[in-house]
Amino acid sequence: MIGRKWWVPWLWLSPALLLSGIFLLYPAIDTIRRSFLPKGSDAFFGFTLDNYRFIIDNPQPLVADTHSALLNNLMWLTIFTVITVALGLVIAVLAARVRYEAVVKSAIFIPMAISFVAASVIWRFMYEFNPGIGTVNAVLKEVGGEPTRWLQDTGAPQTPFTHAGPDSLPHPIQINNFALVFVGVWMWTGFAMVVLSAGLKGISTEILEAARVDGANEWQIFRRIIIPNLSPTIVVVATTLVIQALKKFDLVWVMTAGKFKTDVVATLFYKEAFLFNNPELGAALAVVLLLWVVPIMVISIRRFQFQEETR
Amino acid sequence: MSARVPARFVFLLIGVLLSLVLFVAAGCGGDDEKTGGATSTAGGSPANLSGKTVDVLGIWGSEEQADFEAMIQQWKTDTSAQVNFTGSRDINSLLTTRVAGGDPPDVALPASLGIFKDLASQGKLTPLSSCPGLEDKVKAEYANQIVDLGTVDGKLYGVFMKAGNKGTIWYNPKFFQENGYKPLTADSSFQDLLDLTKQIADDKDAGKHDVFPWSDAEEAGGGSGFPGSDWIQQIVLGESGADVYDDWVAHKIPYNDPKIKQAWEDFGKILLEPRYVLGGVQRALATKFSEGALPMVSQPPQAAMQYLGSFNSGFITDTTLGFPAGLKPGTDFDFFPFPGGGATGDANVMMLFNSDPATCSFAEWMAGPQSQEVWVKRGGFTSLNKKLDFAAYPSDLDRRIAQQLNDPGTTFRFDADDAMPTGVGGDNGAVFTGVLAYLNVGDLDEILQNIDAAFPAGASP
Repeated sequence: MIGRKWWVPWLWLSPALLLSGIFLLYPAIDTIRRSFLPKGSDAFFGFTLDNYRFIIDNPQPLVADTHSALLNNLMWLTIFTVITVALGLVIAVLAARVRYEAVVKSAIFIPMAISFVAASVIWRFMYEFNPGIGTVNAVLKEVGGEPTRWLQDTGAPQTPFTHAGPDSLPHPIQINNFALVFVGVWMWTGFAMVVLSAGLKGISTEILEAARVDGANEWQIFRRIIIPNLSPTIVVVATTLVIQALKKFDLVWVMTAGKFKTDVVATLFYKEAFLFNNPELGAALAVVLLLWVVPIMVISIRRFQFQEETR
Repeated sequence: MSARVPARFVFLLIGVLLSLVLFVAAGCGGDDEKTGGATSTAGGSPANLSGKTVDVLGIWGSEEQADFEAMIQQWKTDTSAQVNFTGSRDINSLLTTRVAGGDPPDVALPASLGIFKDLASQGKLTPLSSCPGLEDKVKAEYANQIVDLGTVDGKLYGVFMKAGNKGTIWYNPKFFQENGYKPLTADSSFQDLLDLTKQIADDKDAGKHDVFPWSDAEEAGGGSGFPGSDWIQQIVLGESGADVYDDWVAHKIPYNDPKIKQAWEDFGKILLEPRYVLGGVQRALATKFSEGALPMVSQPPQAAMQYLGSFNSGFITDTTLGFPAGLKPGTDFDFFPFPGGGATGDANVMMLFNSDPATCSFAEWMAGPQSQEVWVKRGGFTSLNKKLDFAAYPSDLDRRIAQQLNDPGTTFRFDADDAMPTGVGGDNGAVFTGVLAYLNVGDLDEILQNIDAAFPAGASP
């Protein structure tokens, strides 16, 4: 009766615990320890809030613009997540109604299969200022527009609500940030679509048919049946995307290296920790990121447990 | 029951996708091999190094790596030793990590003064005097200012061997000739450059020709803004002299010193004037540095001059970048020295982490003229070794670049941004970002003050 022994579950758990202990728990604790050390300190323990004060005070906006990095992450968090989920949902619902569903879904999913670094390199070419190289500007030029500096322009996009021209205050509403987020959306829509589409297939056709018999139109079905039934899946997708948005690094690093106020927290902490020989500040930035991710993780785990219990 | 299957599927899918992402990320990791490296008795005959491997960390890849391999081929044949070369543009983080992890290479060849000084003062490097005869050889074959550059706390730790000359302003000789403009000389001042610029712009406005004085290109990923930083350091060296330059780099004068501010403003006099720069600052900021010369050599030309280091000739003759085929140095493009008589530049510094016989033998070979001549002949290598014959350079242009750099009358100084601490100079540092901000609308006083604040505490003047 091996299953009765108290240590048996722990035996099966031990490889996973060991691995996450070495690769997750230890580095996390070590990072927190480091974030409280003064700059360049050799001491093992120390306590100073200098690194966190640096993040709040933003004393070196040219090297480490912490305010704009935090704001940019916030922008990624909201705009990237909302657009990707919405697009994924719309495509999933619409694709289910056409004959070529598999083809449509494959096409949308393909960007997900490319290495993110490769995709970023491709988009850097797409956004190139010189219309002879940059596809986006070439198209703009064909339709009579002016080439735009997609990755350099820190001005706000011209809309009735924003004014053109750069602003000295850090704000994430910049053309180049939107250009970066667009690439993120392009990469991740396929993921959202595939997962949501799978969830969609799980909604029993009887409910849908019952609704139709009762005289509901398609919009009402979408709004009152599909969305509520799909909401657990939507939350899962959104959580994944939020975490992606928070730890966004590859795309920004390859395309702008954080220049022109496009830094996010992950690129900033890489610069500080590995390029500027300032691992303590880097650790503090990583901790900020961790603090940001933890509540989202907790919510999603809670929700998952709740679902398991009520099943 | 119906909700069970999709939820599971969803999590499985997420798991699969996340592991896919992890795999993609893991693919970027490199492998590092440990060398044998056991010490044995040093020997005069080179053949007794068989079985030894020298672990070398450099920045070269693709074509340059082939040049490097050609350069060490003779040594490998003579000694039967092996070289395990890792080339990465990301050498600084690689080197920092390996040294911190107790697994340094035998020899490293970064193009950075900052990391060299850091490692030397931390005692991580082996002085060249630990290798028999190496220090004397270097002192005999290199100019004093180059030896000084490799000396930290009175000990010689590094050989600056392969240099880039950044005292070069490129121009279109045909256009200059047709319109009667004279290229500047080493004796010219920055005012002469401004006068020439104004002359070309005025003639353009008068309808004499349709060519802007300048083309400029600042885009270089993490290094964006470096051409502007090069402009400024050349102006500081030329206008204020080597002493101010040294004090500035060592942060003995604040970064917002009036002399430095003057250099930035001089730079701005050209770059911020829409009449002077093709496409204005807008185009400069969004154009890749390697393509800055395109309008200068196009038919008809759109710009008369471009400032960039000597490596620019490699771009101009590279048709894959979109440059027309068959451009001849001297007739289609040429350079004149940056006014002021100084030349800044970066250089690959060779540094050692031990004094094993194989390491020493390799270092001696690399520092000497025979090995460097191999690469010099293949092109793209400007040597700082005095013993190297100028006749080895593949073209007249390359020879003049090397002569300007090795001329005892030229004050050579290492790239200022790179000699400054990390975070201030170098990729993503305050200086480059400051250049971008200045060109993009920024307030100069605020920028200079911010750069000054980026210097580590304790290094303040």
